[in-house]
Amino acid sequence: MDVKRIIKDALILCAITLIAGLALGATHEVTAPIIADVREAKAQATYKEVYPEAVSFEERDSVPNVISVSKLAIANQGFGDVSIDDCLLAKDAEGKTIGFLVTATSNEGYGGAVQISVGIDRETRALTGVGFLTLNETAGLGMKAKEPLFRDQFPGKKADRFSVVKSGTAGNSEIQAISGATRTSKAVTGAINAAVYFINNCFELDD
Amino acid sequence: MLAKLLIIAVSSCLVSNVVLSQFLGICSFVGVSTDVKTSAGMGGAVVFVITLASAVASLIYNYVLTPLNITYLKTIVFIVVIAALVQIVEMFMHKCMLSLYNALGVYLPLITTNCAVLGVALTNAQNSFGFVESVVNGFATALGYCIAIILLAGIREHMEGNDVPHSWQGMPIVLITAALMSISFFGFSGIM
Amino acid sequence: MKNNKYLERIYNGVWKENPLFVLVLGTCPTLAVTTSATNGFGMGLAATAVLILSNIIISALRNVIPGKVRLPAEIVIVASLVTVCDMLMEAFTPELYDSLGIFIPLIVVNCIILGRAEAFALKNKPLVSAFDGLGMGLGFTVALVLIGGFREILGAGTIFGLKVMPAGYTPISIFILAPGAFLVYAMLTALQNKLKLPCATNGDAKDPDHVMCDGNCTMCRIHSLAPTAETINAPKKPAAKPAEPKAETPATEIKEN
Repeated sequence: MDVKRIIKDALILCAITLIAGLALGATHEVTAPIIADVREAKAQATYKEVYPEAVSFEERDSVPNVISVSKLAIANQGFGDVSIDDCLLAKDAEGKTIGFLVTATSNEGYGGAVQISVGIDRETRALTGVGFLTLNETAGLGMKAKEPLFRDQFPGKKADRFSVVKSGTAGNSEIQAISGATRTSKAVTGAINAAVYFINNCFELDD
Repeated sequence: MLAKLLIIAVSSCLVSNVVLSQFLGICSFVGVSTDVKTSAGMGGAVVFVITLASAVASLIYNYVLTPLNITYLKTIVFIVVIAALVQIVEMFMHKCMLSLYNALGVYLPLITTNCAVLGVALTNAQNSFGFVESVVNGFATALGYCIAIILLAGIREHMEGNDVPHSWQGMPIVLITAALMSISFFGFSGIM
Repeated sequence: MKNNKYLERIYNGVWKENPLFVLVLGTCPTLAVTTSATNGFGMGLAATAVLILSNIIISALRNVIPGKVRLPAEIVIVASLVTVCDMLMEAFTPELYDSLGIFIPLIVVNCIILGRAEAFALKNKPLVSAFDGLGMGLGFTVALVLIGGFREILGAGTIFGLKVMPAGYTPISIFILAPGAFLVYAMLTALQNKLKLPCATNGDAKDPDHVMCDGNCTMCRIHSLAPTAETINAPKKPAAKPAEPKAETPATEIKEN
């Protein structure tokens, strides 16, 4: 066996990999800040859609703790397999907290997890809007959740617990189902209920 | 924890089947599925390699790439590790487990370029799965591949005597079969 | 005369040896991302960029890379290019990046890239290899846009996101779902069969010698090393191992990473 040849081959391969690695590192340096900006802008845009009146959104250090404490209580409410992922404070131009932005997930969609962002007003406890962060439902059926027909019904609705109606006009505490996608509608409703419950019963604002 | 693992397993094995809904590994799915025996061999080799590859890739991703903050190197690291892993497994099998090598070994070199292997490793990283979750997900995905390719091979064996219109012979009828299988696998979405 | 050589590569890639319709390479991303014309276009362009660059680099290094570590070296080069492409797309075309998802990193295992590296770039000068990459990439893009457009019109009633079907048209959603991909592809190959157009997967294909892969990625490595009629017609015997075992390399690769 030609040891010299093997070493030479290995060295060339090393050199190629090294150059490739350096090139990747350089590209990463250039693109990483841009990617971070793009992600931030995307998240802000979703928040704005869900809570149009708010000017900025703020994190609260105590939130992860509250979420883990309230986990069991929410699981026992019969909203299905739901969880609260995050909660931001919605601030107006003067920095006053005017409401909450809750991120909640239901694992009972037709295609797996449905993760939504729910805006809830601080005073009235009415919904300000709902946005979809993760939705892998069937195209043409469950995916219609993203369309205005379903989404635009949420702003202004208020209830401790929403229920799904399939036909007729939905009342204030009812959510009109997407036709042909009852399961998706129920998953979304479950996640909204969890978010409302979380704000009403678990989360205390201390300022 | 156990429930979560079960959900991962059912979801990647049946609901979002790797071939029929994720379209990974289509090439070997269509190319090797001419008879059940070959398909079973290929399926076995894929289960073996994907499970091993997701374990190794997950260890590297979680304990080397993430701490060093160089996760952007994942594609290149995974593909090189998979290629090397397949070579090592093949050599090891050839030396130490000859009977297993005779059953699965011939398929091993073919798997390096199977996009399902890299696909699973990348999905694990994307979903930030831990070690156990990665291995379960890898195994279930590969099992899904195995089920799909053996089913297709069974159907193709039966189709051999059928009178298929000339234009549809060969690849087209196989794809139509895959389409019908894909429709029926949709039914699994409801069990989640 | 000199120009013709380059134009010929483009004609070859787009029409004569269209990677998707004639060579049947890269079926996985084809089926997965052609849910809309826009997605097909994005995927096609990403693959084209990688293809041109990988052809140039591999062709330029063809006398430097030792035969024994050729495949690992090629894989490393392609994987780095794909990662660069991935990062650039995430930064500058975030929407497209989201809809193509995992299929951008999977360009690494797209048979077209390694197939062209093996079949063309290793034997030709960088400039003509670049044009080969451009031709093949354009051919791939055109094919993806056609399939994506077809599925989008039937499945959503739109093309490039614009509504084209009359208001009364109910979209046949199945065409943008997974089974639709198989159906459309099946119809396409059946049409090629019917018209006796050259296609690597069809029995009637004449001159199988320039065909790289019979719809079976697992075979393409072998074919590209020895693309003879025997290997192509014997897909049932996968026993053939790569012509050049790279037994010494794994140890170094692992140390590297």
